[in-house]
Amino acid sequence: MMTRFLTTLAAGTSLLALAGMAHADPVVGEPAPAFEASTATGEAIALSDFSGETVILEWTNHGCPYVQKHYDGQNMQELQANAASDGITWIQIISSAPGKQGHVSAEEALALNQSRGAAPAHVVLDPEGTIGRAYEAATTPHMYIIDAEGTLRYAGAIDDQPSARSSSLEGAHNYVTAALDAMEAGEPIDPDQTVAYGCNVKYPG
Amino acid sequence: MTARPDLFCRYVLAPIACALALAGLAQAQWDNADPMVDASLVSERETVAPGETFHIALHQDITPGWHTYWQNPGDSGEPTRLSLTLPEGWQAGELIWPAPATYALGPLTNYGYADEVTLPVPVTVPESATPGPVTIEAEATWLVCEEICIPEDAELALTLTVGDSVSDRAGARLIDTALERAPVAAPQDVSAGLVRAGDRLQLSVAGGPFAAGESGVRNVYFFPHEGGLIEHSADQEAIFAPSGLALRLAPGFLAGDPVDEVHPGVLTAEFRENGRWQLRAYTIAPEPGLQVVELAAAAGTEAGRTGPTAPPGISLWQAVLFALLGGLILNLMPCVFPILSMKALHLVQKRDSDPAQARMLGLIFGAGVISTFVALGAALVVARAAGMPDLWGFQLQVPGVVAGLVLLMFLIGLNFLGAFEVGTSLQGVGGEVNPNTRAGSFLTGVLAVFVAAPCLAPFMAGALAFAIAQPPAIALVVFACLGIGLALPFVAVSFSPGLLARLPRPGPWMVRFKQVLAFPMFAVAIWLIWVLTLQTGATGMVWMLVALLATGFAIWAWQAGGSLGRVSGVLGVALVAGALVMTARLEPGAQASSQTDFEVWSPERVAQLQSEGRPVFVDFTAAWCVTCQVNKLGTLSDRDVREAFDTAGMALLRADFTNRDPVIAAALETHGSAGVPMYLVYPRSGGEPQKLPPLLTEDTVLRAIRAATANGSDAS
Repeated sequence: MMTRFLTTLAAGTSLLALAGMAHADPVVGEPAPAFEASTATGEAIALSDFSGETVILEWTNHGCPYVQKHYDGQNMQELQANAASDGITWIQIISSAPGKQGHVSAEEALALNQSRGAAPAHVVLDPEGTIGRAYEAATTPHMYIIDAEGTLRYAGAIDDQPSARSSSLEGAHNYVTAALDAMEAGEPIDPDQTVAYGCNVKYPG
Repeated sequence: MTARPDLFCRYVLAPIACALALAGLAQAQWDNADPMVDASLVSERETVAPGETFHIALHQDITPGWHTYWQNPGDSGEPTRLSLTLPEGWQAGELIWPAPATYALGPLTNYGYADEVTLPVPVTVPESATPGPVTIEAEATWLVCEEICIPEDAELALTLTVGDSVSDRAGARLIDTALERAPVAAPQDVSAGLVRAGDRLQLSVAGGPFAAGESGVRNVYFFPHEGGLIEHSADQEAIFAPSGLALRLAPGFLAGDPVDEVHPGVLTAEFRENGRWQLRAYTIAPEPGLQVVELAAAAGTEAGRTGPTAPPGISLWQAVLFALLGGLILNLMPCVFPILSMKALHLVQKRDSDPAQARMLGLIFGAGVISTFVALGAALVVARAAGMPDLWGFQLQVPGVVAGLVLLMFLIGLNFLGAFEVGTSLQGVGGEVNPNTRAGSFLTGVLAVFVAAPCLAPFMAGALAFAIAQPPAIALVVFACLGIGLALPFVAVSFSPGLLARLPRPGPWMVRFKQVLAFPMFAVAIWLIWVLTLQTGATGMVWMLVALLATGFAIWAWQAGGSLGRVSGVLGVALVAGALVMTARLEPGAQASSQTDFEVWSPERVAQLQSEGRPVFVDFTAAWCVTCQVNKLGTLSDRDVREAFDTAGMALLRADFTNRDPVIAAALETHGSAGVPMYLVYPRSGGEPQKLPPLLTEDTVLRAIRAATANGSDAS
């Protein structure tokens, strides 16, 4: 422990390393937490597979009214379609535990997306909440953007309207779109972190 | 419809049907078919007078097990919103939020309300209001969650009459209760600050009811107004000080480093008032970058409880005084003795030849001591900034430092035996002052500090703990004072001819005395090797001994002279360096406790033993702490003390701090100790422990045992 500390100190990164040791938090500007998962279509993926591409993580729960607002209003589907045409990998993650709201089988997840006209690149089932906890995903929806270098660039709410009312979609400032535009233009993302709103992620326990 | 649709689904319906049913149910409730919250608009007054300000409120009757949200909902959720449509000229103020409660759901924490809540709004009637009925309309939206979340809304209305002011008894009762639970501005004499402390945010609150200490304040919790300031699910640990308390919070992404913005919030706590615990909530706007309590002062309180010397609370001047006294007392601690003897030898050597030089050497020694203390203080400040547990003596937890000290002691011993002379190659400046003696004096000062570090004199603990919690400049002043205290006797001796004259006359005995002093040095080296063995195991010990062997060889080869000797000497030094690196790279190993009747300490074990009605003695110790060993072999091994332990049924626990341990470090900090030794005696009847002074006497321990058991019989 102490020796490791000294070594880190020598490397001149003690502060960051200590912060990293104390919390495995996802930190904007730092490498995004790595994960491996099998998708609803049975494919094995890892975050590292997408290095060189921008990746969007979307935490979802189809029973959550806030999620419903974004799907019923076609907002989420539009974002997904735009992302796909821009070569961005969209990963939908469902961290609802068995028996809790939003928990679905792989077939159900795919069927739901088909019925909603949603087209994420991958659907990941995370019933243990492992990926959710690594990213400290708190709500559905909760959005993350990871750049081509694997750095977490945005974490937080989908937009600035913390409401489940469909009328709140009008005139909403979409943080994800704004962040993607800023990345495209090579400008700093502002804000790059927001307080996510929505239903709590239905973790086990 | 069942009240627990999720359970019903889990056990009765197939999962897919369940998911669809829930979605449908949520949708149905979204349409207010069967709301989880029964909302109404209530008023303090039935009839209001023109010009009057009164409250109306949104009242929520919440289905048991469900909750609605505070203005900062925590990790998820949405605050309740109320928008009012008032008659012409009427004005509404801000929604008043009663203090919320916390709701934990797995790793997430929410802030809100269960069962029922009333959210009042002040409303002012215009002077021009004409008598007669008026209607206030309101649109309320809220999120209500249990396992699942349902957004609900309601359109509400309230009809009042303008006339003579008449109370609405039911409404007034609800609103009064809400206003009582609402946070109020903190009293004038309360100050608050928010700083970064390593990987934590530290919220400190001083004055007013917060100065009542651990026995007067409990369950302190900070609800920030903004969502990203703290990790809502992290524990909020309270540390008490005489002037107030500090809460240790896990920072969120909004928390600056350093904190440079005001982040207001609500601080709730229970205060002991007339023998009863009363929950109160205060709105605070902690000053960014300000630490308003002297956490170290907690040590002062502890000392005040256990000894008559330290008053509760330490000001800067008191801390300076204690630091000076602590430094002086350090002179008497067992681990500083060999160094002092060494220094005495130097003074005797120089006395006759030149008193001015003796003074010079005394001052240089002092400079060595003080600059080392300041350097250690600076290192402490840096370590604190890096989030290290800033505890005194911690340098001896680093195997590399211990190995270096072993080598140093070994070299000094060899030097005393005359195996080599130091500094003959240093540039001679000429005159009567020999530069190598100056350097030697300075190094002696440096050495004195390093060896003294683990010995904590009673006065020093408070001053040190004070220094730890202070801004860097003040911490450094306190450290400098410790150094001045330690150096003072010898500087005084070097200046006062009277004292100097009492030193023995120089003579041939001095050479022998110098040689004799080599053996305490070797003894210290043995002790340090023992420490190193505990830290790094047998491998570390072997590498250390290889380093010593190579050192001996290098010195011998160098002294032998000639190019072969020089080359061999350099090779030897390289081998020493390699061996030291090998030692330093070893991971600190398992902790070793040598005495078997002591159990391994843990906070849980203490709680368990106390709940069994047993008094508990805890020895916070470390192999590198000489005072600890003195107490262990002396007072704690004393037959009377052992018998008293047995008779009292005292449970003996030992916390071994030889290697760094965050739990032990936290316990030391909680009890206001900056390092080991620390001795705590928990009474049989439960409750707070008594802290004993670092240097134990038989009498102190016996008294503490009696106190710990006497309390028990009083209670039973």
